[in-house]
Amino acid sequence: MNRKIVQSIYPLIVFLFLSMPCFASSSIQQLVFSSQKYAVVTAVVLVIFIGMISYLIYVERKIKKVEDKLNKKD
Amino acid sequence: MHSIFKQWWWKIVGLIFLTIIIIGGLYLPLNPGIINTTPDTVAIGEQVELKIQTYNATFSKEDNHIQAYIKSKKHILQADTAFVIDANQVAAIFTIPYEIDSISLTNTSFDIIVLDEEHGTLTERNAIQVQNTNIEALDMKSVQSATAPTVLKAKKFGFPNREILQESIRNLFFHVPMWFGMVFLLFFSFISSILYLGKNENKFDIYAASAAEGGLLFGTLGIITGMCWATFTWGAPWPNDPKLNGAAIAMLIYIAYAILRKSISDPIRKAKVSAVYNIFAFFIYLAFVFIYPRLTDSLHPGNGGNPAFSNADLDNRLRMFFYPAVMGWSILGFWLVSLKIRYKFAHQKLIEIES
Repeated sequence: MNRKIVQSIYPLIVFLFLSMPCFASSSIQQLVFSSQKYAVVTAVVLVIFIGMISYLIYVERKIKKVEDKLNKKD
Repeated sequence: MHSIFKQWWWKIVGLIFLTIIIIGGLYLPLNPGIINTTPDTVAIGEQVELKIQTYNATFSKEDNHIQAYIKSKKHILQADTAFVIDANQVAAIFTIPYEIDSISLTNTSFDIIVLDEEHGTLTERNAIQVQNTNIEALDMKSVQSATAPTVLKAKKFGFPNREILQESIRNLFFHVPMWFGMVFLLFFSFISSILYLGKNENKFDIYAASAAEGGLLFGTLGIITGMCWATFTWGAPWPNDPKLNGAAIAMLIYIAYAILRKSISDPIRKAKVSAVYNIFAFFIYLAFVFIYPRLTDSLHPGNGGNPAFSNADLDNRLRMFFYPAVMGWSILGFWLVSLKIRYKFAHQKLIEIES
Protein backbone atom coordinates (compact mmCIF):
# COMPACT_ATOMS: atom_id res chain seq x y z
CA MET A 1 0.00 0.00 0.00
CA ASN A 2 2.83 2.35 0.88
CA ARG A 3 4.47 1.58 -2.37
CA LYS A 4 1.34 2.60 -4.28
CA ILE A 5 1.14 5.91 -2.45
CA VAL A 6 4.78 6.66 -3.17
CA GLN A 7 4.27 5.79 -6.81
CA SER A 8 1.30 8.11 -7.12
CA ILE A 9 3.10 11.00 -5.42
CA TYR A 10 6.31 10.40 -7.36
CA PRO A 11 5.49 12.70 -10.33
CA LEU A 12 4.54 15.49 -7.91
CA ILE A 13 7.83 15.13 -6.03
CA VAL A 14 9.73 15.18 -9.28
CA PHE A 15 7.88 18.30 -10.39
CA LEU A 16 8.61 20.14 -7.13
CA PHE A 17 12.21 19.00 -7.24
CA LEU A 18 12.52 20.22 -10.80
CA SER A 19 11.13 23.65 -10.07
CA MET A 20 13.49 24.11 -7.11
CA PRO A 21 16.07 26.17 -9.02
CA CYS A 22 13.27 28.58 -9.90
CA PHE A 23 12.28 29.26 -6.31
CA ALA A 24 15.87 29.35 -5.15
CA SER A 25 16.89 31.91 -7.69
CA SER A 26 13.84 34.16 -7.22
CA SER A 27 14.99 34.88 -3.68
CA ILE A 28 18.34 36.08 -4.95
CA GLN A 29 16.72 37.95 -7.81
CA GLN A 30 18.57 41.16 -7.03
CA LEU A 31 21.92 39.44 -7.23
CA VAL A 32 21.00 37.85 -10.53
CA PHE A 33 19.93 41.16 -12.02
CA SER A 34 23.30 42.62 -11.12
CA SER A 35 25.16 39.71 -12.72
CA GLN A 36 23.33 40.17 -16.02
CA LYS A 37 20.98 37.21 -15.71
CA TYR A 38 23.52 34.48 -16.27
CA ALA A 39 22.19 32.54 -13.28
CA VAL A 40 18.87 31.87 -14.98
CA VAL A 41 20.74 30.06 -17.78
CA THR A 42 22.39 27.86 -15.18
CA ALA A 43 19.01 27.18 -13.58
CA VAL A 44 17.49 26.24 -16.95
CA VAL A 45 20.35 23.87 -17.82
CA LEU A 46 20.09 22.33 -14.37
CA VAL A 47 16.32 21.79 -14.73
CA ILE A 48 16.77 20.03 -18.08
CA PHE A 49 19.62 17.93 -16.74
CA ILE A 50 17.72 16.84 -13.63
CA GLY A 51 14.57 16.19 -15.67
CA MET A 52 16.25 13.95 -18.20
CA ILE A 53 18.28 12.09 -15.59
CA SER A 54 15.16 11.40 -13.53
CA TYR A 55 13.43 10.05 -16.65
CA LEU A 56 16.42 7.77 -17.24
CA ILE A 57 16.24 6.55 -13.64
CA TYR A 58 12.51 5.90 -14.08
CA VAL A 59 13.11 3.82 -17.22
CA GLU A 60 16.03 2.01 -15.66
CA ARG A 61 13.98 0.95 -12.65
CA LYS A 62 11.38 -0.52 -15.02
CA ILE A 63 14.06 -2.38 -16.98
CA LYS A 64 15.48 -3.70 -13.73
CA LYS A 65 12.12 -5.27 -12.86
CA VAL A 66 12.10 -7.17 -16.16
CA GLU A 67 15.69 -8.25 -15.63
CA ASP A 68 14.91 -9.51 -12.13
CA LYS A 69 12.00 -11.57 -13.44
CA LEU A 70 14.17 -13.05 -16.20
CA ASN A 71 16.89 -13.89 -13.71
CA LYS A 72 14.37 -15.67 -11.49
CA LYS A 73 13.33 -17.81 -14.47
CA ASP A 74 16.92 -18.93 -14.99
CA MET B 1 12.32 1.12 -37.33
CA HIS B 2 13.19 -1.03 -34.39
CA SER B 3 16.71 -1.70 -35.62
CA ILE B 4 17.39 2.04 -35.87
CA PHE B 5 16.66 2.38 -32.17
CA LYS B 6 19.44 -0.04 -31.41
CA GLN B 7 22.01 1.66 -33.63
CA TRP B 8 24.61 4.06 -32.28
CA TRP B 9 25.39 6.49 -35.08
CA TRP B 10 22.45 8.86 -34.60
CA LYS B 11 22.99 9.00 -30.85
CA ILE B 12 26.61 10.00 -31.42
CA VAL B 13 25.52 12.69 -33.91
CA GLY B 14 23.12 14.02 -31.26
CA LEU B 15 25.83 14.00 -28.59
CA ILE B 16 28.21 15.92 -30.88
CA PHE B 17 25.54 18.58 -31.45
CA LEU B 18 24.82 18.78 -27.72
CA THR B 19 28.50 19.11 -26.83
CA ILE B 20 28.88 21.95 -29.34
CA ILE B 21 25.89 23.88 -28.08
CA ILE B 22 26.52 23.35 -24.37
CA ILE B 23 30.16 24.48 -24.59
CA GLY B 24 29.50 27.23 -27.16
CA GLY B 25 26.21 28.39 -25.70
CA LEU B 26 27.50 28.71 -22.16
CA TYR B 27 31.06 29.85 -22.84
CA LEU B 28 31.00 32.27 -25.79
CA PRO B 29 30.70 35.91 -24.72
CA LEU B 30 27.86 38.33 -25.29
CA ASN B 31 28.34 41.37 -27.49
CA PRO B 32 28.99 44.60 -25.64
CA GLY B 33 25.94 46.56 -24.54
CA ILE B 34 24.90 49.51 -22.40
CA ILE B 35 23.73 48.87 -18.84
CA ASN B 36 22.74 52.37 -17.78
CA THR B 37 23.34 56.05 -18.34
CA THR B 38 23.62 58.74 -15.67
CA PRO B 39 22.06 61.25 -15.32
CA ASP B 40 18.80 60.03 -16.86
CA THR B 41 17.17 63.45 -17.07
CA VAL B 42 18.66 66.47 -18.81
CA ALA B 43 17.48 70.07 -19.05
CA ILE B 44 17.08 72.14 -22.19
CA GLY B 45 19.97 74.50 -22.78
CA GLU B 46 22.42 72.78 -20.44
CA GLN B 47 25.69 71.19 -21.36
CA VAL B 48 25.60 67.74 -19.78
CA GLU B 49 28.16 65.01 -19.36
CA LEU B 50 26.52 61.60 -19.66
CA LYS B 51 28.31 58.68 -18.06
CA ILE B 52 27.54 55.51 -19.97
CA GLN B 53 28.11 52.22 -18.19
CA THR B 54 28.71 49.40 -20.68
CA TYR B 55 28.89 45.62 -20.37
CA ASN B 56 31.48 43.27 -21.87
CA ALA B 57 33.24 46.13 -23.66
CA THR B 58 37.00 46.65 -23.81
CA PHE B 59 37.41 50.35 -24.48
CA SER B 60 40.93 51.72 -24.19
CA LYS B 61 41.97 55.30 -23.51
CA GLU B 62 44.00 55.48 -26.69
CA ASP B 63 40.88 54.80 -28.72
CA ASN B 64 39.67 58.19 -29.95
CA HIS B 65 37.13 57.05 -32.49
CA ILE B 66 34.15 56.70 -30.21
CA GLN B 67 31.04 58.49 -31.37
CA ALA B 68 27.96 59.13 -29.27
CA TYR B 69 24.48 60.15 -30.36
CA ILE B 70 21.13 60.65 -28.76
CA LYS B 71 18.18 59.68 -30.89
CA SER B 72 14.45 60.17 -30.52
CA LYS B 73 11.80 59.24 -33.05
CA LYS B 74 12.28 62.53 -34.94
CA HIS B 75 15.71 63.84 -34.05
CA ILE B 76 19.33 62.77 -33.86
CA LEU B 77 21.94 64.81 -32.00
CA GLN B 78 25.65 64.10 -32.01
CA ALA B 79 27.76 64.53 -28.89
CA ASP B 80 30.22 67.41 -28.73
CA THR B 81 32.88 64.99 -27.54
CA ALA B 82 32.97 61.40 -26.37
CA PHE B 83 35.83 59.86 -24.44
CA VAL B 84 36.74 56.71 -22.58
CA ILE B 85 36.87 56.61 -18.78
CA ASP B 86 37.74 52.95 -18.37
CA ALA B 87 37.18 49.65 -20.18
CA ASN B 88 33.47 49.62 -19.40
CA GLN B 89 32.71 53.30 -18.98
CA VAL B 90 32.36 56.00 -21.61
CA ALA B 91 31.46 59.66 -21.16
CA ALA B 92 29.81 61.92 -23.72
CA ILE B 93 29.20 65.65 -23.55
CA PHE B 94 26.00 66.93 -25.14
CA THR B 95 24.66 70.44 -25.47
CA ILE B 96 20.90 70.12 -25.37
CA PRO B 97 19.34 72.71 -27.70
CA TYR B 98 15.83 74.15 -27.39
CA GLU B 99 14.68 72.58 -30.60
CA ILE B 100 15.96 70.39 -33.42
CA ASP B 101 14.61 71.04 -36.94
CA SER B 102 12.31 73.59 -35.25
CA ILE B 103 10.54 70.89 -33.22
CA SER B 104 10.68 71.48 -29.48
CA LEU B 105 12.53 68.91 -27.39
CA THR B 106 10.33 69.34 -24.33
CA ASN B 107 9.56 66.01 -22.66
CA THR B 108 11.13 63.89 -25.39
CA SER B 109 12.86 60.69 -24.41
CA PHE B 110 16.05 59.77 -26.18
CA ASP B 111 17.83 56.52 -26.95
CA ILE B 112 21.55 56.68 -26.49
CA ILE B 113 23.85 55.30 -29.17
CA VAL B 114 27.57 54.71 -28.73
CA LEU B 115 29.63 53.31 -31.55
CA ASP B 116 33.17 52.55 -32.51
CA GLU B 117 34.67 50.25 -35.08
CA GLU B 118 35.65 47.47 -32.72
CA HIS B 119 32.54 47.19 -30.56
CA GLY B 120 29.94 48.11 -33.17
CA THR B 121 26.80 50.05 -32.30
CA LEU B 122 25.62 49.94 -28.69
CA THR B 123 22.14 51.26 -27.94
CA GLU B 124 20.07 51.81 -24.84
CA ARG B 125 16.45 52.66 -25.48
CA ASN B 126 14.79 55.56 -23.62
CA ALA B 127 17.98 56.23 -21.72
CA ILE B 128 17.44 59.93 -21.05
CA GLN B 129 14.45 62.25 -20.74
CA VAL B 130 14.55 65.94 -21.59
CA GLN B 131 12.94 68.29 -19.08
CA ASN B 132 12.42 71.99 -19.50
CA THR B 133 13.71 73.41 -16.24
CA ASN B 134 15.33 76.93 -16.31
CA ILE B 135 13.48 77.68 -19.53
CA GLU B 136 14.04 81.45 -19.08
CA ALA B 137 17.79 81.09 -19.01
CA LEU B 138 18.20 79.49 -22.39
CA ASP B 139 18.81 81.21 -25.69
CA MET B 140 16.06 79.57 -27.78
CA LYS B 141 18.72 77.77 -29.87
CA SER B 142 17.66 75.62 -32.78
CA VAL B 143 19.95 73.12 -34.53
CA GLN B 144 19.73 70.78 -37.48
CA SER B 145 19.23 67.07 -36.92
CA ALA B 146 22.40 65.06 -37.45
CA THR B 147 22.48 62.26 -40.01
CA ALA B 148 21.84 58.83 -38.58
CA PRO B 149 25.03 56.87 -37.85
CA THR B 150 25.55 53.67 -39.83
CA VAL B 151 24.85 50.56 -37.80
CA LEU B 152 28.11 48.71 -37.21
CA LYS B 153 28.53 45.10 -36.13
CA ALA B 154 30.96 44.08 -33.43
CA LYS B 155 34.23 42.66 -34.76
CA LYS B 156 34.53 39.92 -32.17
CA PHE B 157 32.13 36.97 -32.18
CA GLY B 158 29.41 37.32 -29.61
CA PHE B 159 25.75 36.60 -29.09
CA PRO B 160 23.53 39.68 -29.50
CA ASN B 161 23.12 41.74 -26.36
CA ARG B 162 19.42 42.52 -26.14
CA GLU B 163 17.73 44.69 -23.59
CA ILE B 164 15.88 42.73 -20.87
CA LEU B 165 17.23 39.41 -22.20
CA GLN B 166 20.95 40.11 -21.79
CA GLU B 167 22.84 36.94 -20.78
CA SER B 168 19.64 34.92 -20.62
CA ILE B 169 19.51 34.94 -24.45
CA ARG B 170 21.55 31.71 -24.13
CA ASN B 171 18.35 30.01 -22.99
CA LEU B 172 17.41 29.95 -26.67
CA PHE B 173 19.60 26.82 -26.93
CA PHE B 174 17.92 25.09 -24.01
CA HIS B 175 14.33 26.24 -23.55
CA VAL B 176 13.20 26.56 -27.19
CA PRO B 177 14.55 23.16 -28.40
CA MET B 178 12.44 21.51 -25.68
CA TRP B 179 9.32 22.62 -27.58
CA PHE B 180 10.78 21.63 -30.94
CA GLY B 181 11.65 18.21 -29.49
CA MET B 182 8.12 17.93 -28.12
CA VAL B 183 6.61 18.68 -31.55
CA PHE B 184 8.84 16.09 -33.25
CA LEU B 185 8.08 13.42 -30.65
CA LEU B 186 4.34 14.09 -30.77
CA PHE B 187 4.44 14.01 -34.56
CA PHE B 188 6.13 10.62 -34.39
CA SER B 189 3.45 9.51 -31.94
CA PHE B 190 0.73 10.77 -34.30
CA ILE B 191 2.18 8.93 -37.33
CA SER B 192 2.51 5.75 -35.25
CA SER B 193 -1.13 5.98 -34.21
CA ILE B 194 -2.22 6.30 -37.84
CA LEU B 195 -0.04 3.33 -38.78
CA TYR B 196 -1.49 1.33 -35.90
CA LEU B 197 -5.04 1.91 -37.10
CA GLY B 198 -4.00 1.02 -40.65
CA LYS B 199 -1.82 -2.00 -40.05
CA ASN B 200 -3.06 -3.23 -36.67
CA GLU B 201 0.45 -4.09 -35.50
CA ASN B 202 1.08 -3.84 -31.80
CA LYS B 203 4.50 -2.25 -32.17
CA PHE B 204 2.99 0.96 -33.50
CA ASP B 205 0.88 1.26 -30.37
CA ILE B 206 4.03 0.97 -28.28
CA TYR B 207 5.76 3.64 -30.39
CA ALA B 208 2.81 6.00 -30.05
CA ALA B 209 2.49 5.61 -26.28
CA SER B 210 6.21 6.00 -25.60
CA ALA B 211 6.66 8.98 -27.90
CA ALA B 212 3.68 10.77 -26.34
CA GLU B 213 5.24 10.17 -22.93
CA GLY B 214 8.57 11.58 -24.14
CA GLY B 215 6.74 14.57 -25.61
CA LEU B 216 5.10 15.13 -22.24
CA LEU B 217 8.52 15.06 -20.55
CA PHE B 218 9.86 17.62 -23.00
CA GLY B 219 6.81 19.80 -22.58
CA THR B 220 7.13 19.71 -18.78
CA LEU B 221 10.79 20.69 -19.02
CA GLY B 222 9.87 23.42 -21.50
CA ILE B 223 7.24 24.83 -19.14
CA ILE B 224 9.51 24.74 -16.08
CA THR B 225 12.49 26.28 -17.90
CA GLY B 226 10.15 28.85 -19.41
CA MET B 227 8.86 29.75 -15.94
CA CYS B 228 12.43 30.23 -14.71
CA TRP B 229 13.27 32.41 -17.70
CA ALA B 230 10.04 34.45 -17.48
CA THR B 231 10.68 35.27 -13.81
CA PHE B 232 13.79 37.20 -14.78
CA THR B 233 12.72 38.73 -18.07
CA TRP B 234 8.96 39.29 -17.85
CA GLY B 235 8.87 39.69 -14.07
CA ALA B 236 6.50 36.82 -13.28
CA PRO B 237 6.67 33.04 -13.73
CA TRP B 238 3.28 32.90 -15.42
CA PRO B 239 2.29 36.14 -17.17
CA ASN B 240 -1.05 35.85 -18.89
CA ASP B 241 0.41 35.04 -22.26
CA PRO B 242 -1.54 33.10 -24.92
CA LYS B 243 1.45 30.88 -25.71
CA LEU B 244 1.80 29.79 -22.08
CA ASN B 245 -1.89 29.06 -21.70
CA GLY B 246 -2.01 27.28 -25.05
CA ALA B 247 0.97 25.13 -24.12
CA ALA B 248 -0.58 24.31 -20.74
CA ILE B 249 -3.85 23.20 -22.38
CA ALA B 250 -1.89 21.14 -24.92
CA MET B 251 -0.04 19.45 -22.06
CA LEU B 252 -3.35 18.65 -20.36
CA ILE B 253 -4.60 17.02 -23.57
CA TYR B 254 -1.64 14.65 -23.56
CA ILE B 255 -1.92 13.99 -19.82
CA ALA B 256 -5.50 12.97 -20.61
CA TYR B 257 -4.06 10.60 -23.25
CA ALA B 258 -1.82 8.99 -20.62
CA ILE B 259 -4.76 8.63 -18.22
CA LEU B 260 -6.95 7.19 -20.99
CA ARG B 261 -4.36 4.51 -21.65
CA LYS B 262 -4.22 3.59 -17.96
CA SER B 263 -8.00 3.41 -17.62
CA ILE B 264 -8.69 0.70 -20.22
CA SER B 265 -7.50 -2.77 -19.27
CA ASP B 266 -8.27 -4.70 -22.45
CA PRO B 267 -5.07 -4.24 -24.52
CA ILE B 268 -6.62 -4.19 -28.00
CA ARG B 269 -9.43 -1.83 -27.00
CA LYS B 270 -6.87 0.35 -25.24
CA ALA B 271 -4.66 0.53 -28.29
CA LYS B 272 -7.50 1.38 -30.65
CA VAL B 273 -9.23 3.98 -28.49
CA SER B 274 -5.99 5.72 -27.58
CA ALA B 275 -4.82 5.75 -31.21
CA VAL B 276 -8.01 7.53 -32.25
CA TYR B 277 -7.69 9.94 -29.35
CA ASN B 278 -4.03 10.59 -30.20
CA ILE B 279 -4.86 11.58 -33.78
CA PHE B 280 -7.42 14.11 -32.51
CA ALA B 281 -5.05 15.29 -29.77
CA PHE B 282 -2.26 16.11 -32.20
CA PHE B 283 -4.43 18.46 -34.24
CA ILE B 284 -5.77 20.17 -31.11
CA TYR B 285 -2.17 20.46 -29.90
CA LEU B 286 -1.15 22.13 -33.17
CA ALA B 287 -4.05 24.55 -32.87
CA PHE B 288 -3.18 25.53 -29.31
CA VAL B 289 0.57 25.84 -29.77
CA PHE B 290 0.89 27.19 -33.30
CA ILE B 291 -2.36 28.92 -34.23
CA TYR B 292 -3.94 30.31 -31.07
CA PRO B 293 -0.85 32.35 -29.90
CA ARG B 294 -0.54 33.94 -33.33
CA LEU B 295 -4.05 35.34 -33.23
CA THR B 296 -3.34 37.70 -30.33
CA ASP B 297 -0.37 39.62 -29.03
CA SER B 298 2.09 37.52 -27.15
CA LEU B 299 5.22 38.20 -25.16
CA HIS B 300 6.94 35.47 -27.12
CA PRO B 301 8.79 36.71 -30.19
CA GLY B 302 7.24 36.11 -33.57
CA ASN B 303 3.65 35.96 -32.39
CA GLY B 304 0.73 38.30 -32.84
CA GLY B 305 0.69 38.06 -36.61
CA ASN B 306 4.31 37.62 -37.61
CA PRO B 307 5.88 34.24 -38.06
CA ALA B 308 8.96 33.41 -36.03
CA PHE B 309 12.48 33.14 -37.44
CA SER B 310 12.51 36.72 -38.69
CA ASN B 311 15.85 38.48 -38.63
CA ALA B 312 14.69 40.66 -35.75
CA ASP B 313 14.35 37.65 -33.46
CA LEU B 314 17.17 35.41 -34.51
CA ASP B 315 20.44 36.60 -35.93
CA ASN B 316 22.98 34.47 -37.75
CA ARG B 317 25.25 34.01 -34.74
CA LEU B 318 22.32 32.59 -32.78
CA ARG B 319 21.22 30.44 -35.72
CA MET B 320 24.67 28.83 -35.83
CA PHE B 321 23.94 27.31 -32.43
CA PHE B 322 20.15 27.21 -32.46
CA TYR B 323 19.71 24.66 -35.26
CA PRO B 324 22.28 22.21 -33.82
CA ALA B 325 20.55 22.68 -30.46
CA VAL B 326 17.17 21.73 -31.92
CA MET B 327 18.70 18.68 -33.60
CA GLY B 328 20.72 17.66 -30.54
CA TRP B 329 17.91 17.89 -28.01
CA SER B 330 15.40 16.21 -30.35
CA ILE B 331 17.80 13.32 -30.93
CA LEU B 332 18.28 13.03 -27.18
CA GLY B 333 14.49 12.93 -26.85
CA PHE B 334 14.23 10.09 -29.37
CA TRP B 335 17.01 8.29 -27.53
CA LEU B 336 15.11 8.49 -24.23
CA VAL B 337 11.94 7.33 -25.98
CA SER B 338 13.76 4.47 -27.70
CA LEU B 339 14.83 3.16 -24.28
CA LYS B 340 11.20 3.15 -23.16
CA ILE B 341 10.14 1.42 -26.37
CA ARG B 342 12.78 -1.28 -25.95
CA TYR B 343 11.69 -1.76 -22.35
CA LYS B 344 8.10 -2.25 -23.47
CA PHE B 345 9.11 -4.82 -26.08
CA ALA B 346 11.16 -6.71 -23.50
CA HIS B 347 8.28 -6.57 -21.01
CA GLN B 348 5.89 -7.94 -23.62
CA LYS B 349 8.22 -10.79 -24.49
CA LEU B 350 8.49 -11.63 -20.81
CA ILE B 351 4.71 -11.83 -20.48
CA GLU B 352 4.57 -14.08 -23.55
CA ILE B 353 7.18 -16.40 -22.03
CA GLU B 354 5.35 -16.54 -18.72
CA SER B 355 1.97 -17.38 -20.21
